[in-house]
Amino acid sequence: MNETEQDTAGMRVVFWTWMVLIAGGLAVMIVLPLLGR
Amino acid sequence: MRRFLHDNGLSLFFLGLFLAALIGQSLVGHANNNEELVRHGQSAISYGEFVTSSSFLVDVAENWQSEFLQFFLFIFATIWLVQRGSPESKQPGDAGTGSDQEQLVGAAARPDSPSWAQAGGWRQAVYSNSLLLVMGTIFLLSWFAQSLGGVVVANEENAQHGMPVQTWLEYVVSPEFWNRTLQNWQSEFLAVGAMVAFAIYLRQRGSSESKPVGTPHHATSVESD
Repeated sequence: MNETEQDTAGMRVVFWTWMVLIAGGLAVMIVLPLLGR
Repeated sequence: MRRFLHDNGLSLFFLGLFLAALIGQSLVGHANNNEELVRHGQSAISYGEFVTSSSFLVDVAENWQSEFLQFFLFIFATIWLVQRGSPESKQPGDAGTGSDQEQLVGAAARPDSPSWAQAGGWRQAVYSNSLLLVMGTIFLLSWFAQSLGGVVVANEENAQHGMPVQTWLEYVVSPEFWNRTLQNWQSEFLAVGAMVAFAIYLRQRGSSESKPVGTPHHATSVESD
């Protein structure tokens, strides 16, 4: 992997980490109250 | 790995802070919740029960929604409004969505521009507004989550006091819901407005949120480059 590919991979990891974290958090915060928790 | 940490330090720093603060909130929230339960003659609940309860989730959601609203409005407002002298703003006269040449879209795109910026039609339209769309969607979903958790918590309290059950629609027009909402919004708007105004005259050497120290007060973002 050259430097540009490494940079791109790093940025993708960061972007998707935040996206998955927020999507997962929203799913939990919506589903659990709907289940009456 | 060292290069990864160096190149992505800003987002990783805030990721670490976020996780630490959320765990801290859950730990002290659990302790506080159990103190309240014992005070009311009820038995304490486990940590696992607490972090999956609406009383914890509503507190998380109400802060999420206000933060994402703040950024949604800030991104939207900075398209059309300017603040002379602030590095958070475009220059006076630059208000608006900009030309295709300025935005490097369509025929004006570079070979290494994102593919949806090079494309025309709906893909370019969606990608041109993707940051606002995502921030706005997260705001709406977290505000919806706040309302769902809030009505569960409100009905637990109603049951303890022999009050009738509230529907979701009754809850979202209740003073309780709007009190939780507006107390978060006011602080977000205060901080953003103060940041925009303070950055006209105040500096932080080395920060991308500040003009360079010696930049004149009247200079706005692009001028200071």
